[in-house]
Amino acid sequence: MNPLKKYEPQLRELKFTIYLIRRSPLTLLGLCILLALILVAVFANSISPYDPNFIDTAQRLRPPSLTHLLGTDTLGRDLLSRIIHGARISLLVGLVIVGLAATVGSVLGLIAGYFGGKVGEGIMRTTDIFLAFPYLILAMAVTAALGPSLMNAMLAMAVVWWPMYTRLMYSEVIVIKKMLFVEAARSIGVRKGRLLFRHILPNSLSAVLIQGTLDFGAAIMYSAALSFIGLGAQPPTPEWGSIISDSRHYLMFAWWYPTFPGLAIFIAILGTNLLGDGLRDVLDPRMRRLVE
Amino acid sequence: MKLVYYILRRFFFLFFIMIGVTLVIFLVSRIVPGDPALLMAGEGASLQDIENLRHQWGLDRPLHIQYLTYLKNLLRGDFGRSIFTARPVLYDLKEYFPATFELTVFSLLLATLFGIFSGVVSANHKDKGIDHATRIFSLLGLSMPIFWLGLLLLLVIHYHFGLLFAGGRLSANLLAPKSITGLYTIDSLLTGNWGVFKDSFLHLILPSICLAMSVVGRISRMTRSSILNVIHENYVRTAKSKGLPHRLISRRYVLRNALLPIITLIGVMFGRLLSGAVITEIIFSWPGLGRYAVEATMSHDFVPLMGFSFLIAFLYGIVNLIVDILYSVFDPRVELG
Repeated sequence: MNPLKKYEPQLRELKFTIYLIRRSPLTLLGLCILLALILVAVFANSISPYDPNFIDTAQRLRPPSLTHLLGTDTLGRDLLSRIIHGARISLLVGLVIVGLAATVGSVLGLIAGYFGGKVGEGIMRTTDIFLAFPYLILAMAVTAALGPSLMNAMLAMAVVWWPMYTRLMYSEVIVIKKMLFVEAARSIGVRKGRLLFRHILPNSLSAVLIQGTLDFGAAIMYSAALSFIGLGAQPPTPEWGSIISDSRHYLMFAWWYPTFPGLAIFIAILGTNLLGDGLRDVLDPRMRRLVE
Repeated sequence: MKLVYYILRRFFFLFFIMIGVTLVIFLVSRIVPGDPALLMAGEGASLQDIENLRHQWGLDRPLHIQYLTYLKNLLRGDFGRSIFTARPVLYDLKEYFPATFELTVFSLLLATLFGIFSGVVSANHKDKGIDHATRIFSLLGLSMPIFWLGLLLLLVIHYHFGLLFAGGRLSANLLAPKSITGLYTIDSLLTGNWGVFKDSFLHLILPSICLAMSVVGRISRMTRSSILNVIHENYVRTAKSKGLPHRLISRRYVLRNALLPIITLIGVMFGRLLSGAVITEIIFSWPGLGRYAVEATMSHDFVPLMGFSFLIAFLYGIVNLIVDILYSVFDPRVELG
């Protein structure tokens, strides 16, 4: 027997998903932007024309030219190289924040939704408390307490963000656990752990995936905002938000200084927004079959 | 009666949330690495000085006692004193609050008006050029980091074209109007001081546009999809078949029902505006709460930040409470529970 035969339904679904993504040019554009960012981040060392931290005070605040395509900053460092290396940091930041928040949040949501009772109630009321703060405010407080650094900013954002995923997972699980296939699995004696992780979790994962994609851009934006305030990445780290923060005092003489790193953030967020919106239409089982 | 019961219940709920909020803020303030007493004493302080300070601030007592003291003080309106300026934080918060309030409310007004207007236009011309244009515009607004937008606005509109004012709430040569509401634009109008009104208004526009951009797209998209949902309802069809004029249908039948979800959205958006206000205030040197909190934080003074976080969470809670009550008043189908 062909070993792939077993996975034929999954393969068919995957093919259908790819077909749906290819039908939507905006989703494709979002995907391309993200892929390009990943490539830039991976090959940052080979494609950046200069060392991002190479200081050349003779060349300070030069406008874009052929030697420095996007100009230089106040210490004569090449902006293009700094932005390219910034892609590394921003992608990592997005991954860590969303990864941490989604993992912790989803597991807690799964527990709260499936078991309910006092534990579930406790978890959900805790999310209420965390969601009572606007995002940036609590993140600011946590980062300020831990001490300003990129690491702490990421940690703070994860602390702020997990309740979103707990709520999302909770609302998915309480619907799914009442569905017939779960009932059927339970009645033939499937154990709790298997029920949770093989039957309920995979069926609620697409919602988390969509939210995660949309949040990826937001995570980059908020951590850049923390760096802009001065609570995130510290100089000389070539983080996009902190480059913009440095540029504030030279706004009048160097238009390129805040413009290009900001453009990089903007493009990254635009990409994840496009991809996230597209994935929502593609992965949502209710919307999925409508296009046929 | 049911409504009164509902409001009371919501207040009760908010009270417990706020208790939780104080607990979070307290715990966060206690994970500060390094001893707050050491910070307060400054360099060159003797061990005895530090010990005295620790005792004076109650830092040598058990954590739960410290929390209860903090809570008791908070209930009396005592937010503590800034470590550096020794000013009571409550005074500072009172002083900076009106500026933030003026900025966020004006932005919310701007975003709501423009968002609903463009949403209506978009829905009326579905899949036409103007619909695509507003879609692109709202996507751009959603993807633009607020600190970047603020700097670009400064760069282009203020520095390049020399339009509007940027930096602070009022030009240096003008005196603030007599404080009635604390909002310069309103106060100057109330006292009939036209020059101050014009000046403060011109200062307000740029930061407000910057702040409003982060939420206007979402309001616009929501209005559009909400209208497109309502248009297919039976009562709209009935109204059309009765031969009611188009204007009447779109105002009384469609818009009135379509705007209900927008009320809820505005509550959520208010939280985003409060976050964004911190950054906007820094860029435009707006003397508000956010800037105050950040400046205190930068000098390792976390007492103002604690008070600020509490106040913001409280405001956010109250606004969402009002939003929920409004929603249930406007939509009689909502079950109060």
